Amino acid sequence: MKKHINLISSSAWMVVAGIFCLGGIRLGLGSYDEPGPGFFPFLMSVFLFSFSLILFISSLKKVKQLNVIVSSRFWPESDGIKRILFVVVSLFMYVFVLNYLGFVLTTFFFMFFLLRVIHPHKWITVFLGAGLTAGLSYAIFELWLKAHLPVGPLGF
Amino acid sequence: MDILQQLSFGFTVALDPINLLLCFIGVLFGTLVGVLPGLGPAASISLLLPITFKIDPVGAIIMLSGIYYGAMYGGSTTSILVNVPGEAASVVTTFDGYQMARQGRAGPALGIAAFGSFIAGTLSIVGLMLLAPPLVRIALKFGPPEYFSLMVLGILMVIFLTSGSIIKALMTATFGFLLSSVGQDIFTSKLRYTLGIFELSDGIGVVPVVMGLFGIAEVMINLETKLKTQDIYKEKISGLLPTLQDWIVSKWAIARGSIIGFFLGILPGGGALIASFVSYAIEKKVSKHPERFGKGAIEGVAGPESANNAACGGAFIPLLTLGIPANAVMAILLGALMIHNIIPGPFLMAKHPDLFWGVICSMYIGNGMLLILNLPLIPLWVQVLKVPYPILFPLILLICLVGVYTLNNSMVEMIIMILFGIIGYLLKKFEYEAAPLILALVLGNMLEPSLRRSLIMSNGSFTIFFTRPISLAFMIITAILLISPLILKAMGKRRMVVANDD
Repeated sequence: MKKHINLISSSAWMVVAGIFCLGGIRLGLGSYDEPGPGFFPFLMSVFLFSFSLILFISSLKKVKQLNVIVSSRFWPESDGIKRILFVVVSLFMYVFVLNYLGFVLTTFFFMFFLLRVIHPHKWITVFLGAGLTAGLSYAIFELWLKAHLPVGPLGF
Repeated sequence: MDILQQLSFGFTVALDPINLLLCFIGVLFGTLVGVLPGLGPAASISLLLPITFKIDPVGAIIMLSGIYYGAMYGGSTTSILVNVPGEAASVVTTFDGYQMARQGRAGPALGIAAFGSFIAGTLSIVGLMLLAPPLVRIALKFGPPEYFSLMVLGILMVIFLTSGSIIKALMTATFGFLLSSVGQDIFTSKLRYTLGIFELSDGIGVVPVVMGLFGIAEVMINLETKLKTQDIYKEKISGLLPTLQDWIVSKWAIARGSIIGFFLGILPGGGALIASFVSYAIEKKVSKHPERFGKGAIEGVAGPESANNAACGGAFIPLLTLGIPANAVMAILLGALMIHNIIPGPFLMAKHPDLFWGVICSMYIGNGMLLILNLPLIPLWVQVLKVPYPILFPLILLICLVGVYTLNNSMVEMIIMILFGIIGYLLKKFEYEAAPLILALVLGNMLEPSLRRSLIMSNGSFTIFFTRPISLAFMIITAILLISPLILKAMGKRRMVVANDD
């Protein structure tokens, strides 16, 4: 099991190293007595590629069957995957609507979603929790800490 | 100025009402963080980091430091009452602490943990106070080659002392160094890997990365399984003061734990977790009745709890004197100092004595506050433990989002945080440690200039790292570190061959 996840992860790291390596060459390596802007990233990407290759080869030696990618137990149960995906989507949505709806409304809907959809609470808990959180966080960050949060169509 | 004068100056700073309040907020929040499983000191410090930008840097570091050592106190509460460590360094306390609770001795377990932490914390601050000035004098002789060698040694020590795979830790560390190169090159002003995004010209910020890796990723991991409330110790907790017999049994464990924790805390990669494990192993080894361990031996609580608090004091030494963080939490504190335009290192004591001595003295005060907070407030912490995680995690996510936004009002940084949350989740799933990444991200901004300056100084020759005595010493230790696993492996094989021959 571990060997498969190591094959996948080391391959991904090799791709990352390759991207940074090409970027470093384009930036210019300079010379040893005057290293260029690409020198350090190039050096680090070579190290990363080498370490990834070592992991890849050592994992390959232990793999008997390459057609099994990951066992079903590696990833969480389907409910868990759903919860995680919902949270990630809600985080991105928060960022994208923040400037349109303003801080208070966005926070209210964000908390509403998490309290109702991810782990369902009673409606009263959801409304109270979302409202209180939005209000308190506005008071703390905007009024007390003067954080200048985005303003929405309601003026806050 | 001699030590006493410096101390009295430090206490003047630490006893300022605002700094006292910030110290109190830090240790209270730290205890809360330690009590609540799933929220460690690294994530909590990063959550509060944006708030500190509105306050004086001395007060900010006092508060953030308070969270760090406060979490060590709080972590023992859940370990003893719930058999779940509140934070990683309190894992060992579950072995005997929970057993003591089951035997109706939760009170003495909590009491000895608190007193041991106080004594060890105080002793480690004395050590910090005495060791820091001479170390600063040595560090003043450092140039770019010495800093480069020391940072390489530091990051390698963290990697080799990591609990997981060394090769994987090396990979995350080099990735951290790559991330540190994003932004404007300080030598040529060329933009590197910014993808045309203006906000990335200043580089990838430590705060969004830390909040993503430790805050968001932790929530995602916890959401994998159905969320449930903790099964908490239900009996009334009484008799918090350890008995005379408890003290007699624990006194040497506390003393040994303090020394072990302090010196392990100084070492990069050492830290509270390793200190607590080493202390437990030693206590079991020296005990006349090792069979008692794992069944409610009070030394099994006293030693590790003392060690993990002493390690906190030790960890400040390389940060304040050399500007080298010993662990991920120190790396975040380093990031906080740099955001306030304060560069820790040998000149910190001279240029910012208020910060240097103020933080040290505030730790004395903070330890006293923690002893007072932890014992009488245990029933309150038990109630806090009952806050369901389904209520807690949305608050954690919101604090992360708002906290990052308040840094620079930047959507890009919020997206970076979310992306690193996903990366952090994947790192955990694929069994990679995030700590080397954070350390490398912070150190990279110092490592690269040190390397390039050294090469410029030496006209391109790498021998500069081996011809300067201090740098050579660091390189020799690095080499020993690199080849020791191979030597140990070869010795293991040799023993097997000899055994087979017999």
